[in-house]
Formats: sequence, structure tokens, C-alpha cells
Amino acid sequence: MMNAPPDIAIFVKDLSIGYGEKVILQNVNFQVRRGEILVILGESGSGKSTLLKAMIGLDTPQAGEVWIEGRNLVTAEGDERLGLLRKFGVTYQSGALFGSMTVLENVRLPLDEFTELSEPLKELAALAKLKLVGLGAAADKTPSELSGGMQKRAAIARAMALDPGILFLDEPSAGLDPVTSAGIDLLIEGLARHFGITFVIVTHELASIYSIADRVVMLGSQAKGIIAEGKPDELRDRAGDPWVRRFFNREPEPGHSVQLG
Amino acid sequence: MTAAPQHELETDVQVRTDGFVRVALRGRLDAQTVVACWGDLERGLRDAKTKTLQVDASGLRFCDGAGRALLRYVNMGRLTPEATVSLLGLEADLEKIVLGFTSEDYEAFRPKPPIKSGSFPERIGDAVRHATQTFREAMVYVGAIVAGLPAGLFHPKRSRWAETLRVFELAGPNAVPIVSLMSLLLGFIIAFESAQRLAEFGAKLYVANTIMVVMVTDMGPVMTAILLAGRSGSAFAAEIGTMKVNEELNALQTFGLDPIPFLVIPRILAGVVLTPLLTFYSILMGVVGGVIVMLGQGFALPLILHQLAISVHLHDLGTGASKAAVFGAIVSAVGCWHGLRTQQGPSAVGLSTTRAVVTSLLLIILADACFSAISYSLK
Repeated sequence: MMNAPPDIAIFVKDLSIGYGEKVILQNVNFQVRRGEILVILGESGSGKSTLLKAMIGLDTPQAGEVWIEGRNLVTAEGDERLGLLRKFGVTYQSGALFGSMTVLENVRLPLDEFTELSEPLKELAALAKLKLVGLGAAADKTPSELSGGMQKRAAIARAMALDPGILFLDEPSAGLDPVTSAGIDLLIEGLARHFGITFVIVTHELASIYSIADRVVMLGSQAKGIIAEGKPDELRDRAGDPWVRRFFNREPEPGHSVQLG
Repeated sequence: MTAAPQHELETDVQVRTDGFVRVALRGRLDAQTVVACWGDLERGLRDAKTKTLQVDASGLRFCDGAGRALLRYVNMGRLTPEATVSLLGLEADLEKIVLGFTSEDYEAFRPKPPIKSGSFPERIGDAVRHATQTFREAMVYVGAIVAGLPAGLFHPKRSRWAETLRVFELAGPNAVPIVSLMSLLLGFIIAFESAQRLAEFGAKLYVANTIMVVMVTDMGPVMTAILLAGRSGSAFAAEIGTMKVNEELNALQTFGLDPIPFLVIPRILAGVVLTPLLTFYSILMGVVGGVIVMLGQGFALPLILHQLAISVHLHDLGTGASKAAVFGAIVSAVGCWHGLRTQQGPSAVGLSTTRAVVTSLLLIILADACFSAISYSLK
């Protein structure tokens, strides 16, 4: 157990990730407060997805620690690791809903596997989660019958099935129209406010970042690690790194133009 | 609500004789404690003729999704259908969340029981309609192939020889090791099995004739085609099916390129050319297997070779090659056909692959039966 302040939900300490000789992230350090919405940003290849994978235990880092609710996920094994995995939910860029099941069955799956609730309660709990994300009426549809935005909402409902305190979302608004994307943002904000859920979100959507992010952690390319950290407005106006300012002001690289012919 | 350190829940059920029941919940109502609480409530309320149920939740320190589901279920009167239920003492935020999911929501969102399929005649009608539609689509597909073949063969700009060669290499030379092993073992099996029977008539020498006839006329082409169906037909279905799922076929069509000449014709050409070649190789390996068995039984090599030479005629080899070419066309065409018909969804490509293999096997056997019937009637 780590003696971290009680309001810290996640603590990433000296995290280094790489494959063989290739270093992707080096000495990454940051914390996420309970109930905070943290957005991870970075240019393509900067290691955002790699960082997310390490934080949810899918990848083992070369060095460093990932503390979740006071326990180190990197060294946790057996029942401790299983218990730790149930403290957070994850949604993936594609939704990753199980195509052979209905939406309700997808959301019920964690309840079926990890609780001994009676059948009516499992169904009711899953339906309530679906209503929460605005998909109550789609309970008996299959994922292929849902639009992209609905699939992302269903994935969030499934990630919340066991009431985790932390949700990791990988590109929750990618490929969605602005209206649907704004709906997802509203849902994330509502869940953070009403249920105190901590969010770690990887996204590139500037509108979403300004709308929901309490804080932004920005990764640099070529294993630079964190190059900026703070509120989106502050980074837009006062970031020291020119790439960060360009990102928030949506400006192209200097000298970038269409090469005719 | 903040998490309480304790993991206990106290459930107090008081039943009065006048039908009034009071349930008091104190402590932590979560996925663990709800299980026992559900049992307590079922036992306490089962035999009570409840007219009024009052749930006092003022002692709750923590309530998660499972706890909220229990409170909602009780509050909807699902445990006590005849009673008036009141839920008291909930913290304001929790009350808002619990009461936000109503009995109407529950009824509206629950999956409806599946609609019973139609009567027997209706189902027969549906099956016939579906079969007719599939047959029509298959005929259109075959027509498109026949129409596209001359251009694919002779039109220099439309011929996709590089793609044909790539498919040929993947489906042909790369299949040689498995064809070698399978055919060699097939030769062993035929030789051993026939040797036992022919020995009873003192005709063990004719094992060589048996192997040659069986391999050339039937086993060689059929087993090679079966292997190709499993190895290459399935690969064609998966490759084209994945292209369809990834909208690559749409991209082709918006360029004005027809998938039949672009994808199907090169695979059919490769299949038609390589299957006879693989079949001859399979026959050779099968015969080698048989010869090894016969040498082991003491027959001289020149005698075996003589028996092999007199057992088949040129037209037998022609029949074997024709069969193989037809089987190759079947395997390629069916694999591509199921790839092109791939639906959306995660299991769609797998389903197309399975269908490609099963349909190919069925059509290979059907075509073989036709060849046998025609061959018999011609003789």
C-alpha cells in the first residue's frame, strides 16, 4: 500500500515503456485526483496509447509504477490484480462491444461474471446503466445495429457495470459528428459530477478538451515524456513549447504548404 | 456518498399482523451485501400478506449500482405486488438517482420476448424464396465471371497477371509440403488396404494398378481440391470479406472498377491452372508412397513400374486433369463468392470462410459424381 494523499486516485511514478531497444516513454510522472477529468494528448507516435495500456495493465512497463487507489498495478498479481482491475473500467476506440451479444447482454456480462446478484437485479442494474447513457430503448439491439455514437455510449455503460471509481476512455469522440460528440462530453461531465468518477481520456478533439478537461497532460514525440501539463486555456495561451501552442490554436507546422505537382 | 470502511449491512424486517411491513437498511448496500439482503427480503416478505411496505434507508452509508437496483426493485413493488411501497430516508442525491429509473422505464427497456417464427408453410415459403434469390444471385455471378474471362485473359490492360501470379504462388508452391505429406500417406494407405484384399486372390502385384487408377481418376484430384478448399478457398473468402468490411470494395467501385475482373478472375485463373499441376504432383507422391510399400513387400522396381505404366491410359490422365481444373474453378469461384457476400459484423468474415469451405466441398463431391456418371455412360 502506498501512503498517497486520499484524494489521489491514480499515481504514475517514473514510468518508462519500450520494446527491446526502442524507448517510447521515459520517466513519466503525474497524478490524477479523485473525480478529476484528465486528458492525455500528444502527436501521433508520442506514446499515448502505450501509456494508457500500461495504466490499465495491458502492457508491462520496463520501469516505474502505476498506483491505482493506493495499490501498484505493475506488481499486483493473482487476486490482488483482479481486485484492482475491477476498480476501473475501460472503453476502446472501436467500442469493442461483443458482437454476438445484445447491448443489454454486453452490459450484464461483468455482473454475470463477478457478482452473485439475482437475475432480476442484474437485469435492472444493467438497464439502469443503459438509461444513464441514454440507451435504454436499445437494450435488445446488437452492436451492429447501433450508430458509432451509440456504440461508444454502450461501451461506457459496460465499463460502468461494476461501478468502478475510474474510467479510462480511448478516443471517445473519434469519428463522431459534433452533436454526438457533444452528447458524449455531456455524459462524461455528468458522470464525473454526479458519481464522482475519475476520468482518464485519450482524445484529439479540441472542442471536447476545452469542454470537459480539468487538466491536460501532453506527451512529446521521440520519448520526450510529458512536455506540458495544466488547464487547456492556460496551455493555449502560455505554453512554453511551440508545438503545444500550435496544437491548442490548431495551427499547422511552420512552412507547411501544399506541394503542387 | 463516501465509501464506508465496514462491509456489513443490517437488514431488519418487521412484519405486523395487519399487513404492515417495515424494512430498515443500515450500513453498506453494495454488490456483496445485496445478495444476502435479497435473500432476507424474499424470506421475510414471501409469506407476509403485505399491504403496506415501508423501506427505511436512512441508515445507509454507501449504495452502489447493485444497491440502487435493489432499492428500485423493491420500490417498484416487484417483491410485493399487492402492497403500497414507500422508500424513506434516502439521501437527496441518491433518491434522485434511484427514483430516476421508473417502473415505466423498466417495462419499456426490458427485452421483449422473441417473436415466434411463422407457421411451417410460412417457413417453407421463406426458405424457397431465399433459395431462389441466392440461386439468381449465383447465376448473375457466374454470368459476370463468364463475361469477364475473355477480357481477363486476352485484354492486356485488363489482365491482372501480377495478382494472378501472387495468388498462384500463395495457393500453389506454398501448398506443396502439405500436398506431399498428404499424398504420400494416401499412397501408403491405399497400398496397405488393397494389399490385404488382393493377397486373398494371389493378386498382390495389382496393388500398383490399384494405386495408379485410384490416384489418377479420383483421389488425386478430389483430395487436392479438398485441400485447396480448406487452405485457399477459405483464404479467398476471408481476404475479400475483410476488404468488404473495410469498404475497400466500395473504393474499387467508386473508381469504376468491377470487383469481378479485379479480384475474382485472377483467383479463378490461378485456381484453374494450379489445381491440375498440384493434382499431378499429388498423383506422383501417392504413387511414390505405394511403390515404397510394394518395395517393402519384396516386389522388384521394374515390375512395379511396368504395372503402373499399363494401368492407366492417356485419357485417364486427361480426365484427372479436367476434373482438377473444374475443381480449381469451383474452389476459387466459391471462395470469392462468399467473400463478396460478407455481411457487416465481427463474425461475418468467419461465417463467410466457413460457408466457402462447406459449399466448395459439397460442389466438389457433386462435380465428381457428375464426372463419374458421364465417364461411365461414355464407356
